[in-house]
Amino acid sequence: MRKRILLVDDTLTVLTLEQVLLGPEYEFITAKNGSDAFKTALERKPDLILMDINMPVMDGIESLRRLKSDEATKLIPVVMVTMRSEVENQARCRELGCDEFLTKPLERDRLQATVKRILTR
Amino acid sequence: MRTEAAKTRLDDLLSEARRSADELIEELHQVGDQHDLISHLFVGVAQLHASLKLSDIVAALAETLINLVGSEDFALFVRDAATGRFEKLWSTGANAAHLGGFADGQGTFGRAVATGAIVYDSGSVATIPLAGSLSPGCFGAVVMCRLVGHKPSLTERDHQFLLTFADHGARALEAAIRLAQAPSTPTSIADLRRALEEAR
Repeated sequence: MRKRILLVDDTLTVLTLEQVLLGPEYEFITAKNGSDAFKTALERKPDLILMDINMPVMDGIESLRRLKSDEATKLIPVVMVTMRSEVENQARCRELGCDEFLTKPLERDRLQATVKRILTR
Repeated sequence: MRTEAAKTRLDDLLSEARRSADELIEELHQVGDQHDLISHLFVGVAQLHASLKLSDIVAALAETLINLVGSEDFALFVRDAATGRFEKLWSTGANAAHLGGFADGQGTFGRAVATGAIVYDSGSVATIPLAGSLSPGCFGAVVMCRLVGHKPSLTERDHQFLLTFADHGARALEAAIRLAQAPSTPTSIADLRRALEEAR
């Protein structure tokens, strides 16, 4: 059965690129902000979440905090997709239990390797 | 003697196998790079042609440069029909905020719009001229001032991507500008047929 990945970003460019780069071996669901991401994670129970930090309505950090403090979602691995300049945000994400970081612009090799590594551990 | 010959043959076979493996790895890398480029092109082009609204197209151009190339400091210039100069329509980032307008042929930016070719230089990362399909010459340009901190320079894939970006970005922006300037949009089939006839 295909692993389900929740992609969270407010731009269609990133959501589409992530799907194209990762390919058909995964099932994708998407959310456009942190609030939708939390609701979708509760309902659909993804195997992995790839989430942007800067988003409207609810940012990635607050969404990560909720995901990691809810019994139903706290074990879902979360990879934050960031600009490397966001050093403070990265430190906060680590404290909250984020599993890995990927930097934009996304590179296929790194994206595929990170997703595979987390989903097979 | 026979053992020696067999050993030599085995060594030759092993060398050949290693060479083949190296070639296959190289080919795999090349296929991976191609896949990467095609993925970026597909996503970029799809975004640029997803709307005809000027604000959507400017947002798509920006999203493409931020997320697919890795720049958060760039400006979009469009030729002012009244003066013929290229004036800033939109920008993001500190360096781009300070850029002023320029004339055709003036400086690096003007050279790019005069020749229609992308200019790469150290002062600005790249000046990407936007050539229209409805009128000759360039009607605009994107000046990319700086890449994100962790990206030291544009890659070969970026260079190839920016060629397509220039082409499709120009078409999408030109259509959006024309639509924004049009007094009315034909809606009836008769209007559309007339518009088609006039275009012939």
